[in-house]
Amino acid sequence: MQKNYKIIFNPGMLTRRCLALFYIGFFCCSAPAFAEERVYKVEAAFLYNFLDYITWPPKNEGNSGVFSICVYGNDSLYNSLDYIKRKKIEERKLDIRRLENGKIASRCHIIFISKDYSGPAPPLQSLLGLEGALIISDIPGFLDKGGMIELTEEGQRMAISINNSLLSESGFSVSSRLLNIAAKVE
Amino acid sequence: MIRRLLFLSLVFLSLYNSGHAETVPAPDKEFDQILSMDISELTVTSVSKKEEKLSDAASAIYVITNEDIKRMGSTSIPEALRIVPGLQVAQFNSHGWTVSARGFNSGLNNKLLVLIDGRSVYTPVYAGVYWDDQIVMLEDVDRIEVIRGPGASLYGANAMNGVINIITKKSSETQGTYLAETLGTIEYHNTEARYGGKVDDDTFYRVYAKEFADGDTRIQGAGGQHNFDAWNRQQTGFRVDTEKKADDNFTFSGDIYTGNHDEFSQVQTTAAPFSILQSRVDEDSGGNILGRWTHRVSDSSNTSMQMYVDNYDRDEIIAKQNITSLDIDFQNNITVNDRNNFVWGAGFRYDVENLTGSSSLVFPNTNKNYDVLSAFLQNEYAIIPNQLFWTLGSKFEFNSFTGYEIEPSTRLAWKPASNQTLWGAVSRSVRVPSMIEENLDSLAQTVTVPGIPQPIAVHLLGNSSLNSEELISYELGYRIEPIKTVSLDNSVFFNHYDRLVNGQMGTPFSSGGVLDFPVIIANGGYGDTWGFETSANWHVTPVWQLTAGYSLVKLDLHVDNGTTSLDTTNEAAPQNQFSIRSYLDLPHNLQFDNTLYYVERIAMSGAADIPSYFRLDSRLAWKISPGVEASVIGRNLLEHSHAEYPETPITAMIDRSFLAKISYKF
Repeated sequence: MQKNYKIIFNPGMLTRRCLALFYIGFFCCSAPAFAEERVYKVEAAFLYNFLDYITWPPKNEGNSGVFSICVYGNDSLYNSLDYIKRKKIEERKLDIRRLENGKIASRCHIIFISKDYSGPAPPLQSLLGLEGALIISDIPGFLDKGGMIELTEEGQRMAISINNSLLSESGFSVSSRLLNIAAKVE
Repeated sequence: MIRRLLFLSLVFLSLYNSGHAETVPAPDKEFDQILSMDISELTVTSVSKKEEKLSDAASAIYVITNEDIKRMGSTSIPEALRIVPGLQVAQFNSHGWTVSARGFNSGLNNKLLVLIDGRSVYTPVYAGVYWDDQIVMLEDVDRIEVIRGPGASLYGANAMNGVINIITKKSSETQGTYLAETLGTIEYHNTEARYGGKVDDDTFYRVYAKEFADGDTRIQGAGGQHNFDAWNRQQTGFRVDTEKKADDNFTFSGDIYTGNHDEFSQVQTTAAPFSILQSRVDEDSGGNILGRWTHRVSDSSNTSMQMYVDNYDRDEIIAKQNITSLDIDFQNNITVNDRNNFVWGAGFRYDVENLTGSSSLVFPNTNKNYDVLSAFLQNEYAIIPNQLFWTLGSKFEFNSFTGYEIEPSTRLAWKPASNQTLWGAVSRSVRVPSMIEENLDSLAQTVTVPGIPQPIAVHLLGNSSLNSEELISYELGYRIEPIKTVSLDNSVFFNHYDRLVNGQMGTPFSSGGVLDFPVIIANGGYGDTWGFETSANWHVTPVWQLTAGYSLVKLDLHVDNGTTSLDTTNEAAPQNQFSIRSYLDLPHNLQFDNTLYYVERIAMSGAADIPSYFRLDSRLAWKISPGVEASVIGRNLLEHSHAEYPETPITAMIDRSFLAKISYKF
């Protein structure tokens, strides 16, 4: 970086100082210390992993292979998903969308509602009506309320609860490997 | 030219920078490790730690949340407990409260087990709780769980009528700095500070300090004269929590406190005038240290082990007490074939007593120590998974006082639909005698009776062959969430008591100019109590929540011939109580919260009648910015003052009071 900068031009004292601040500022902000809580990292990892163990209804396969994960959540969760997106960019193209104020987005492959989401959550019925969207949450009792997949924190790990009958009806196909390690399958 | 180059290079730099940042995130070792794990390594295949949903519990459980404590304006634990239907809370002086469940609210009330983070704060000396020694940073309390009814197999002896479990937040949930200052008309000032940080990614800690001073109440019937019961406390403590990747959790915590309380005491003598009112400033101190280890054995089993040492010292006019307790507990939780959840455990407790009496209160056996060995087991069997559960269990104890005690209990929980639970339970529970019931020689009162030449000195004597009190309890409960915004919780109970502690009248004899009338502590009481508790919660609108509670307690108690009466009338405990609470979120980050209580009258034999009262507490709070909140709290707004409990020698009047609080979090 430094090298490029020097080659381009030779600024005066004043401009050099201003640029230096600008430069430092940029570097400081583009590489933040990753201080997010572990639970959000684990949840993000699960959402990423589900892409390997679940088959979407044929007509909803990612257009040009881009998987869209839409999330109602806080900064930590969004940052965790963003980290995965950037880290796994060579293996899979992800589009992470953060939904605010209970807005409903179409063409999401996964919709995740975090229990730490402080805004108004959209009605579950509307989300279930979206074609090809896998509705997942860590809100306790989510499966009872009609959700598709529920994640429950258990110490350092999570328990997966799957409403397989609902998933089949909606055109999804869950690998038996995932069903075997799930804590609860309905 | 230079300027244009400059501009272009800046643009180039910024584009280069942003593009670069997009493709290479700063490495995060923990996250990379998580991403490299196979999904099965991140999963648990069964929920073994039975953290039951409250709505599934087969007992009359009520939870007071951190938000409730704040919005009710409670500055102490007993104040927060007023809202629970089935609990009788009465403040009897500036630093004293009596808290009981389902009746039996005598000042020596002894049938309720109280725990703070698993540490019992129930004193074995008189089998009750010194609430003024149980100070916690309420901001860092996660919740208070109140179980009305026998604590059954899990809690054992002395959890006869109920269990109160005060649970503080984990250190990882109390990070950062918290400062608060409260000023008031009776609770003069309260200063609190807490700092939470982390040692590394797995180890979190917090340290806190709290200091407050409260003023006097006033004396009933004395035209506004002040009582002598002011008090203050200074307390500090810490907590460390570790969560290692190998599924082990450690918690280590400790607190120490000092303080004073003013005391007015009626000291009995055998010479005229037979009782003297004395006053003194008493010193209190204490501390505890606790360690807990939780270990995941496998996907279906975990264990925990806890050890603590607790000491308290109270120096009062008629007695000085210094008690040190050591408690070790072990518990293992196993899920077997998906339908059985088995819990078992063992424990040992050792109390070292150091009691010093005075001329009117003697402890004949000095420095007698007290130990309890206990074990319990319980199995919850899913007869129909997710729908019908049957629990059977028992606690077994061996204590150095009454020997073997067995407390079996059985419960059935039925969920006919996901929004309803119907449960029933039958339990046997005991209350082991306290140190003073066994080891006491106290001059209770000296009276002159017309026709009898000598004054009569009534002596209350301990009894080393006292038995435990026994309870057989029958309970039924029903919980329903008829619509998303409303939930109702009801429970009904019928309790049969036997061997309740009272006094056996002995043979009077002449001694030193008085007629000594001994009353020996005995198990001469028995009878039934029954009642009903209901609570309803309604989210009227997203910004307005209403909670209502009602409880009824009826007593039908008797005593054997030749024994002294218990407080057996129906009016000894308030028969009817209800409360209505409203939380209202207003625009501009304001909160307006109100709680109205009704407590019916208390009429105890030989004591002043306490009339029924209504009490309104209100709070207006303003969240000035994300970390700063200011609030004003008014208590007892409806009346200038009222009494809540008849106490000798003085019945205290609880006055209308105000508080102003500011808190700062960053």
